[in-house]
Amino acid sequence: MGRVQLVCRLAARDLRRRPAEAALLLLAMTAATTTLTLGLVLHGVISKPYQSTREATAGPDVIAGVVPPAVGRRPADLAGLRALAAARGVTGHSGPYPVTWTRLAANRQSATAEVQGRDVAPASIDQPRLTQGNWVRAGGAVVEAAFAEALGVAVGDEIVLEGRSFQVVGVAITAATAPYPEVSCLGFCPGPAGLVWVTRADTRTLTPRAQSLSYVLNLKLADPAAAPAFARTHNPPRDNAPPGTRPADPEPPLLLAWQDIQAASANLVRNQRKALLTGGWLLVLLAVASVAVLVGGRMADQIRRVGLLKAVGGTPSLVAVVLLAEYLAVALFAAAAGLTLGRLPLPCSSTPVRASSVARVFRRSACRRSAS
Amino acid sequence: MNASELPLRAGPVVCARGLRMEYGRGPALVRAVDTVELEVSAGETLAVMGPSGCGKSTLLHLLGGLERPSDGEVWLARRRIDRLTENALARLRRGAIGFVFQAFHLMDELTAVENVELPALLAGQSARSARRRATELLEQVGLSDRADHLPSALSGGQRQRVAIARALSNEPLVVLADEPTGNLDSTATLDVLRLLDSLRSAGQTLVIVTHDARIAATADRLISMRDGAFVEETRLTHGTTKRLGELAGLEG
Repeated sequence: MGRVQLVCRLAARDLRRRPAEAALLLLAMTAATTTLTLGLVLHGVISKPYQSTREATAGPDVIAGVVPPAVGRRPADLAGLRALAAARGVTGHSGPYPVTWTRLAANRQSATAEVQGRDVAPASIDQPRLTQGNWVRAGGAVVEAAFAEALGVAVGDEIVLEGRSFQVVGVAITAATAPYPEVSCLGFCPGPAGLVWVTRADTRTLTPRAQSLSYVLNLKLADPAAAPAFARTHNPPRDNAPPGTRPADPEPPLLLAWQDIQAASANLVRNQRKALLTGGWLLVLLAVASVAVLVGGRMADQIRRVGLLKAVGGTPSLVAVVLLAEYLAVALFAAAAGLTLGRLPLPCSSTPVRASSVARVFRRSACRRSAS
Repeated sequence: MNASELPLRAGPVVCARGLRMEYGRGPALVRAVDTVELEVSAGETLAVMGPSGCGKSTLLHLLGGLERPSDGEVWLARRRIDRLTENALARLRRGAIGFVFQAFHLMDELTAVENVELPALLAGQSARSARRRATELLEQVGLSDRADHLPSALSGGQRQRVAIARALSNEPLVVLADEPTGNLDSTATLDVLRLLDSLRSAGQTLVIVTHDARIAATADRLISMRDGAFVEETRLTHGTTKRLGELAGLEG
């Protein structure tokens, strides 16, 4: 007991004598641990929530879409899309829903929006889960949660689509597309587009001609794991045409498996996680270097302490413990603080936060948890 | 290991046989201690004198097991210690050897009483008994009113008295003092000399390395050292030590 007391006393007193060094050390180690924790938490975020969102929204196994040919005034191949609903292995479907791409203006910002026309009644497959407000009604739009956050809009705000004003009546999450800005739009849109749901009738008012509407169909398969194979089987052969350029002939439907959407969702945070992990390790190195500098700077003093402890009968292990105890104490405290700080964004994510990417990820994660 | 656990107090407490300590190699070889033969009896006070760099401190470190000799043997109470493991040496130092250094070597962050109880706590004594013993020792060296002072708040002489109290914490077989008055003014030197003299009178075995003739005068035996070797040995009379103050020129 006496030795433990001695070690604690020496560590505590030495830390008290050098508060600036201790504070620097604490800061470096806390920063390192926080960043590493954030990276690891993000790893958890990307690995699980998509699945829970899929369950909560009756997410489709395959999304099929058709666009009208670029040349001529012919409509999209809706018949080809409907035929997929009867394909082998399909057990259910919702849609086809009309889709158009347009500019959205809100809060003095503008962005490309993928506007999807939905029924007022809930769908059996891909019914977005509301995190705020209500489902679509005439003149009322529901905005995908990450898109809403990026735009800074909430229920009750006004958005303008193609010069027409809509009231935001709801904010929702879906498993049919990756969160903004990773919206897949089946490769039809040239850049990032946020998803907005309005009624079918409102969708038609956003395009000058009915022929220019695209359509999406949500499919449920008997074997969801086989979705990529199903998509491969029914997707047209790829050509070398760049994205966004389409021939004059009607194109066959393009299909996307839910696994691809899951991967796209993960993409959003994967780079951030890498950056955070890399940053975390760099900060760990910084912390180690700081410790080395601090210890090195105190070497003469420490040698004197070693000599003294040795002279009064300290064994090598006890001398080592005495010398390391204060750094260990700081490291443990910093680790605890870092772990706490690194996990703090999770419980906080259910409250509105600034639209930083990381915050968005956490918020989505929280929404998905609450949805499930 | 406690002093009382060692086999005997009679006969030589410290013994060195053919002790050598060398640093470097070839032309750069330095022989800090050169074939030293030494015996220190129980209760004896031995002073080792010599100019700076003659190997006095190295000899003391070898006798206390702080350094390992290049050759030769070191015995403490009939136990050879130069071959002991570091852990065994640490336990031995803890109980059987007390060190006093020229620069005091107190823990700056600990108070006087906490410094004194350090060896007892290291030896595994309870905090309460270690504190009791430390308080007694501080009283013995006349510093009971400075028990809660940090070393920075003590004078040089007071610090050295704290260091001596610490050296006595575990009732060692021998106290090895390296220039104990080297950093002190005249008044503080006299205080320390008196303290060492009282230890000698109480039968404490002392080996004091010094180049101060006044402190050497308190010893029973004086060995002169030069270039790592013993060059002269003088047995001093009690009459000499009794006139310590006069010799030191510190009393009227």
